[in-house]
Amino acid sequence: MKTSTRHLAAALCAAAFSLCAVAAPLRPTAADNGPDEIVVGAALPLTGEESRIGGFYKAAYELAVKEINDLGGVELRVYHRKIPVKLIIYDDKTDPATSRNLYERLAVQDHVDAFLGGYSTELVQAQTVVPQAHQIPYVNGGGAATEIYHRGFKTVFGVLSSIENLAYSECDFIEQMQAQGKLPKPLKMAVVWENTSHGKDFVAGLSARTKQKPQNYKIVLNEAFDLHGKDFTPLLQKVKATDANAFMSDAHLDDYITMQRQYRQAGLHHAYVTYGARGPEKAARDALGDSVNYIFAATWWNSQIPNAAVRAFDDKWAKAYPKIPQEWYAALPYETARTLFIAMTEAGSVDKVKVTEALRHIDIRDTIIPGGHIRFEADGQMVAPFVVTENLPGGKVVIVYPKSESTGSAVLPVPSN
Amino acid sequence: MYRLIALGVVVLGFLIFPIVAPHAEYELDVLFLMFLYGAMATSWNVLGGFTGQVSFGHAAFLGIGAYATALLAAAGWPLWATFPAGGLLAALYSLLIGPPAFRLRGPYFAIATIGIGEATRLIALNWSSLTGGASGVTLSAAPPVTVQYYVSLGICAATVGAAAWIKRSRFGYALAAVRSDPDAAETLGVNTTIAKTQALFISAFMLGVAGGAYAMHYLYVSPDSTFGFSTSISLVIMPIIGGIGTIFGPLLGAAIFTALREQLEANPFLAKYSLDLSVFGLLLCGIVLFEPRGLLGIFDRLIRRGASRTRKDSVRE
Amino acid sequence: MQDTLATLISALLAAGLYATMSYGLALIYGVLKVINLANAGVLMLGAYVTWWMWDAFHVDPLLAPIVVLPLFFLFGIVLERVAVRRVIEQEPIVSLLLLFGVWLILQNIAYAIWTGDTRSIETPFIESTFKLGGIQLAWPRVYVFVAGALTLAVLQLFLTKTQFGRAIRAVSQDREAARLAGIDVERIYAVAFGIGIALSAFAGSLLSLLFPFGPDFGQALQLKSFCIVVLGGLDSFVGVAFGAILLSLAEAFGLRYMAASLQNLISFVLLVVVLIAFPKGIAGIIRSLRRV
Repeated sequence: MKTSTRHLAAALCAAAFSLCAVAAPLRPTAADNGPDEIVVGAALPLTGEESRIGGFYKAAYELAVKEINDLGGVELRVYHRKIPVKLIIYDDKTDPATSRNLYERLAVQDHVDAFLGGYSTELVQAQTVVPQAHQIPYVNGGGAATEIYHRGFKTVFGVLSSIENLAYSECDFIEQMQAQGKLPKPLKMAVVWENTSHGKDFVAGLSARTKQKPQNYKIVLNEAFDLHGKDFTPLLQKVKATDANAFMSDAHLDDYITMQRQYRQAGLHHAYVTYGARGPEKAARDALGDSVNYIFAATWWNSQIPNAAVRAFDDKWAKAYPKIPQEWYAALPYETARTLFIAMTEAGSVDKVKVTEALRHIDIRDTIIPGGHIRFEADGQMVAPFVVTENLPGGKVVIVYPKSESTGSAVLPVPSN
Repeated sequence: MYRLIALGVVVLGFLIFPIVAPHAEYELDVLFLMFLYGAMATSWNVLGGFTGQVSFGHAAFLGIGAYATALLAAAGWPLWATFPAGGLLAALYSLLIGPPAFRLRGPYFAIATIGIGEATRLIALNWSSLTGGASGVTLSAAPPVTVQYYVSLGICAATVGAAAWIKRSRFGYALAAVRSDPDAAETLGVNTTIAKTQALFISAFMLGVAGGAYAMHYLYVSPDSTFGFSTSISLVIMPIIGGIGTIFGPLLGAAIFTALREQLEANPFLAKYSLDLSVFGLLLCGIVLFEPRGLLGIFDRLIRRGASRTRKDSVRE
Repeated sequence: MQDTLATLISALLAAGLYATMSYGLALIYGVLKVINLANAGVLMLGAYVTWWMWDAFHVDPLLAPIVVLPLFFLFGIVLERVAVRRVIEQEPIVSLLLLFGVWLILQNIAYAIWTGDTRSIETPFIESTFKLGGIQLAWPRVYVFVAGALTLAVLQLFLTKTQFGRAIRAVSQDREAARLAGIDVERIYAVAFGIGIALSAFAGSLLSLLFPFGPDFGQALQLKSFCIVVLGGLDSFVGVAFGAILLSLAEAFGLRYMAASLQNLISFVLLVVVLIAFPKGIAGIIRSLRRV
C-alpha cells in the first residue's frame, strides 16, 4: 500500500472512530401519556472570559429546575400530570462558534423541548440562530443588546431589558437629581464605552436622551475602547482634558476594575460616575476596595429591593448557595427558567409552537424583577425599569431609583475624597 | 489503481451517507464541521506545510470570506456566488500583506502574522459602516442540513484535491525547495518571494471559500468569532497534529480536533478544568519533540514496525 | 503644556512596564535564538503566584518576587532541560510551536487551579498616589517603572561585569566560537532560559499590582512585547528599553488624535511597519546609519 493511501485510511479511520464516539442513541419517542421528562438545554460560558458569571447562570438554572422538580415537575394539561424537568448544560468556553455548535447539539442530538439562554450578548447573538432554525422556544436572561431582537427571530425571548433602557433609567434618575439641584444642569457627560453591542446601545441611549432633552445633557466626549484594555491612561487623559462633570462608562468587569483604578490614580473627579451595569457587585469591591465608593450603577435587579418576593428569593438562594452572593446575574436566569416553565404550563404541553405562543403572550406578575412584571414586546425583548444603585462607604449599596424600590437617598454630587 | 478505487469508495460513502441516514442530523453536523475544518487546515497547510511559512494570523482570510458571504448574501447575491467572491477577496487581501511580510523569515514572519491577524480583527471591529462593527452580521436562513453537508464535502474535496495536485506539481517542488532551504532555492532560480506569495494567495483563496461555508453554517459572523486569535490557533494546531506538509495529515488533524472538542465539551469533568487546552498543548509539544510529522508519522512508524516484524517472522519460518 | 507633560509622564511610566515584560523575551532570544511564545503564560503565572500568596497567606505583593524569581528560574531550567534543549538546533519555527504548546498548557494550569475568574490585588499601596507639580501620579506605577529601570541596570552590570554574564554574551554572539573557547554552552542555555523565564514572571508579578487578570492575561500584552523586542532588535536590553519608550509614546500621543478603540492597532501597525521596513529593528537602523 502506498504511503498516501495509508494516510487516507488513517484519516478516515479517525473520522469514523470519532463519529462513533460522538454518536448517541436516539431518544425513544413519547408514548401517549406524555414524555418521561421535559428536556431543557443550555450552553453557558463555564470556562473562559465569562466563566464567573456563567457559573451564576448554571447555579440559578439548577435552582429553578430543582424547585420545580421538588414539586413534581411542570404541570402539563394535555397529559393530566406533572412531568419532571431534565436540564442539560454544556460549557461553551465563552466562544461564539462553540456556543452555536452546542445549541445545535442540544437540538438535534439531545432533542430538547426548549432552550434556556447563555450569557453575554456576543454568545447569545451567535447561539440564537439555532432556535430560529429549528423553531425551538428559547428564553434567555443574558443578552441585552437590542441587536439580538431586531433580527425577526420568532422563538427568541429575553428577560433582560435593553441597555438603551439602562441608559434611560440612569437619565431619569439624573433628571430627578437635577430638579433637586444635586446635579448640574446641563450635565456635561464624558461617555466612554466598550466597543461591543452592549456599549453601542449604552451610547445610543444617552445620545437619544440628549437629543430629546438638550437642556439637561451635553455630551462632551464620546469614545469607544477595545475590550480587555490594559492602559486606559491615554483615554482618561482625554476625559481630563474636557470640562465634563459626569463620567459615563460602559465596561466589562475587568475593564471596570482597570479603568476605575486608573481613574483614581489619575486624580480624576466628576459629580456623577457610572460604569453602566457594573458597580455594586462583590467581585468589584473585592478588587477595588474603597475605590468603588459613590459609583452609580443601573442593574436589572438588586438583592436589596425591599419587597417580600425578593427577600424570599434571597433566603432561598443563600440556603442553596451559601457561598455565592445574590447578584443580578443570579436572579435573572432564575426568573428566565421560571418563565419558561410557566409558559409550558400555560401551553399545556411541550409542543414547540404552543410554548412559543404562550411565551409571546405571557404575563407574569409575581416575579422578583423590578416592577414584578414579565412580558415580552413584539420583538421578544422585555421592557422593565432598572434599579439605580450607589455604592457607599463601608461596603453599603443603596437603591436610589426608582422611588418605589429605593432604600436610601443618594449622596450627590460625588464628594471629592 | 487501488488508491483510486479506495478513494472512490470513501467519497461515495460520504456522498450517500445523507441518503442512507437522512435523520442523522447531529452526525451530519459533526461531519460538516470535520469537512470544513479539514478544508481550513488544508488551506493553512499549503502555506505553513508545503512552503514552511507558519502563520498565526490565518483567521484573517477565513473572516474575510465569512464576511463577504454574509454581506453579499444580505445584498441579495445568491449564496453559491458569494463563495468564490469571498475567496477572491481574501486572496486579494493576501496580495496586500504577502509581499511585505515575506521579507521576513521564519519566526519573524510568524510573529508578524500575529500582528496582521489582530490588526485585521480590529479593522473589522472598527469599520462599523461596512461590517456592522461589534454587532456582527446575521444571515437570514441556512440551506437544509444535507445541502450544507454536500457544500462542505465539496469544498473539502476540492481543497484537498488542489493541495494534492500542487504538492506533485513543479510549483509544489519549488515550494518544497523554499521550505527546506530558501537560499539554495534562490540559486536554483526559484524566486522565493513570488513562490511564497503564490502559495499564500492560494491558501487565502481556499480559506476565503471555507469562510463562506462557515458563514452559511453559523449564520452569524462577528469580529471576535471569525477573526479571533483562537481561530488562528486552531488553524495551526490541526495540521501539526495530523502531519504538517502532508496531504491527508490536515484532514486527520481536523477529524481528531473536531472529535476531541465534541468530547471535551460534553464531558463535565474535562470541561470544568478546560482540559482541551492541555490536550492540544501536550499533543503539540509531544509532536514537535518526538514526531514532527504528526500522527501520520506515528502511524507510519507503527505500520513499518509491524511490517518489519512480519518480515522477520517469515524469515524465521 | 501641563497636558502634554502629563501625557509624557504617563507614557514614560507605561514604557517602564512594557520594557519589564519584554526583557525575558529578549534575553531568551539573544542567547538561545528561540522566541518564547510562552511568555504570556509565564507573565500570567507570575501574576497568579503573587496574587495567591497575597490572598491565601497575606504576603505583601511587593515581597512576592522573593519567591517568584527563584521559583520561575527553576521552572525555566527544568523546561529548558526537558523540552527546549531538544529543539534549539532545529529550525526556529519548531521551538516557536513547542513553546506555543507550553503556553496552552500553562493557561490550562491556571484554569484548573484558579478558575477563569478575574483576580486582582488590592492593598493600600496600590491605591496610593502623590502629586508632582500639579500632576497626580500613582505609586504602584512609579514603583513598576523604577523596578523596570533597576532590572535594566542590574542586567547590564551582570552581562558586562561578571564572568558568567560575559559567557552569556559570548554565546549569544557566536555559539560555536564560545564552544571552542571552552564555554559550557549547554549550561549557559539552561541558565539564560531560567533567567529569562524568571524575568518574565517577575514582570507578571509587577503587572498584578496594576491590572486585574485571568488565565488569558498576557495575550494582548504578548503582542506589545513582540513589538517592543522587534523594535529593539530582539537581543539588546537597551534596545528593548528604547522600543518600549517608542511604543508607549506612539500609543499615548497617537490616541490624542484617534479613537481609543484603535489603541491596540498602534502596536500592531508599528510592529508590522518596523518588521517590514527595518527587519533588524532600531539597533539595525543605528548600525546601518553608522555604516553610511
